[in-house]
Amino acid sequence: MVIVRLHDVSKYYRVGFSVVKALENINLEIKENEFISIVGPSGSGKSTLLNMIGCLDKPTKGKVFFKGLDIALLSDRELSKFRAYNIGFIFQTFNLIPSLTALENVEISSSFSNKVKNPRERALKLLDLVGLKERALHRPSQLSGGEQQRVAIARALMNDPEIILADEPTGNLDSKTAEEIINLFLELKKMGKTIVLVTHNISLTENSDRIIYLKDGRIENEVRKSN
Amino acid sequence: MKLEKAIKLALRNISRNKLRNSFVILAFILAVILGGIIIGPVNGFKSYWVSSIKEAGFNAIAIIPGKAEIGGPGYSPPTKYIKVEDALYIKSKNIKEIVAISPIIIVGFLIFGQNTSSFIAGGWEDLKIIGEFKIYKGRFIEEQDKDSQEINAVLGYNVWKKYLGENIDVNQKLEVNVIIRQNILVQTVTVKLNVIGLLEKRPPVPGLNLNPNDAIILHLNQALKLINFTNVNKAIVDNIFISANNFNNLDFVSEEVIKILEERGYKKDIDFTIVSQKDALNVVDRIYSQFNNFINIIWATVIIISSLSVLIVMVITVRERYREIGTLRALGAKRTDILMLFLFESLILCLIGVFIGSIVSVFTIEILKESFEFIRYVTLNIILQTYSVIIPEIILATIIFALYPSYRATKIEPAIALRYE
Repeated sequence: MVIVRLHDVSKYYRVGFSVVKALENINLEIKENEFISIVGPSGSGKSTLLNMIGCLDKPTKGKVFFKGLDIALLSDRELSKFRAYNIGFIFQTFNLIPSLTALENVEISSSFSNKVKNPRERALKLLDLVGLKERALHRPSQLSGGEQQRVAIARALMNDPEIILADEPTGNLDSKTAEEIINLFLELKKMGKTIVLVTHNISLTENSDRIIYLKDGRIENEVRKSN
Repeated sequence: MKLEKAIKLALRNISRNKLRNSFVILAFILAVILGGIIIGPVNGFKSYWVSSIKEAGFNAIAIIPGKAEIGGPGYSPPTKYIKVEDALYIKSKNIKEIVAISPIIIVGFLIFGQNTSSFIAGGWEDLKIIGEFKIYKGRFIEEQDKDSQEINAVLGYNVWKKYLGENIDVNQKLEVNVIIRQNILVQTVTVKLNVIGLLEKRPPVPGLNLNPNDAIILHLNQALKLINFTNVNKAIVDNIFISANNFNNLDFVSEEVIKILEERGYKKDIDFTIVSQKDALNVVDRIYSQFNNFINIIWATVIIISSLSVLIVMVITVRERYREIGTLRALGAKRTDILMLFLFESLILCLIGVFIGSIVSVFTIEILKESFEFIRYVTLNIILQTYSVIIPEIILATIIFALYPSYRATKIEPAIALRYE
């Protein structure tokens, strides 16, 4: 089943007097329980594409459908709710809230949806899943980069989203920790999650179902892997 | 986002920048202290004057010869002087709203060392009602005293404290040196008084130079005898005091008295002026409102400065937490959630400051009460009344000033905020 479909999506930014074409005529389908890697050099439009898939941005041209729903039809308020219920985000810089503990950082996602009945219990369970139950009451500043990213993964899973979008999640981590994080994504895939991973590190994509190569805002190549 | 979660997150964020937020809280503490110790005492000062005026006899009017304006440019003498016969004439009209009437003539001042503040005044027995005098010992002057061989005198509180010493019996003789006036002549005489009554201490009358506690009160006829004036009815009075049966009838009584005096050929505001406690209250109100306007300007400045501190800190905070706002939006926070978050942060800073400031200013006022008499009238009730006005004003100003940075935070696009370095 197709979860996300991008139809002829283009995104242009105006910078001064010139127009930057961040994405150009992208057509893409993401199926349920797929692990997709989007790779490309810096400035190729990877993060912009991820923002389109994650309903953080609207295309200049074309349409984004999420389970058949045209997201352009949603208001800002509806989009926020839509993200809270359906999408989990993981960022390169972890983006944890410094004043909150690991547990509270995971719990905070549930503040924006009514999906989770017992947020504290679920947050603890998710921290256990990422191997950080013992560090639940630590602040981000007391955690290593890898630990912070695992908290961010737990946070992304809090509302049990349809799809997890990871934007360079290993960019700030050493290779060993990066491998641990990728293994965690594979675990999530086994749990039935759909994962979209943006990276410029080809070595991290070997376990993906599909690799999409972006260059200058266009899909240059698409490689399907048979596991 | 649930309210408790938003408040919790706001509290946590406040604790992130303790030093900076402490300055904002300090601004609010100072604002409330300033509000408390400026506006509170101003209200207390008004309350002090109002209670003094009320204690001075609320239902009285005074007929003053000439033109006198309370709180106005000054005094000009009459062309025709009011006499005792005019008081008798008003009395003869038997106006039912008038419960007491008495002329007052000051016949002399006592010499006691360098101090001449005590004075001898002649009046009628109604003066007891008008002045709301309470007898400590003996009795007040009565009609029978006018023909007494002795000069029967009632002593005000300060007089008997000063002249009688330990011996505070009535019906004792008291010799005093008095400067008396006889027309344009002034001379010093020794007067032997028969003390018939001692008065309790009473509050001074605001706006009156002579303190009733410094008075030796004689029957009018006897007072005039001291200055060798025998034609009592033709004697020029210093004032005529009239008590109405209630405060609401003061205006009616004033109008009746004006009519009577005009009937007798006197011109209002040229030959006589009528002043009531109502006028005195109006003057207090006028002074208070002018003073209050000035205080309001200061208060508005204080509020603006403290609220500006919130505005500046929140603008910086929003800029610092740009990416955090983007993250929260990505996680599903609505624009209103972001607005509430920053408004709560501002409000919590404000409320902490208001709470501490209120307690500190209550203690400050208590300490100042030792030094300033009018601050003694700043009761807990006045403090609460003051805070019931200034605290909502501070909170409202904070919300208004915090709205701009909070609104700006809601306008941040998540996709742009997440790219923000």
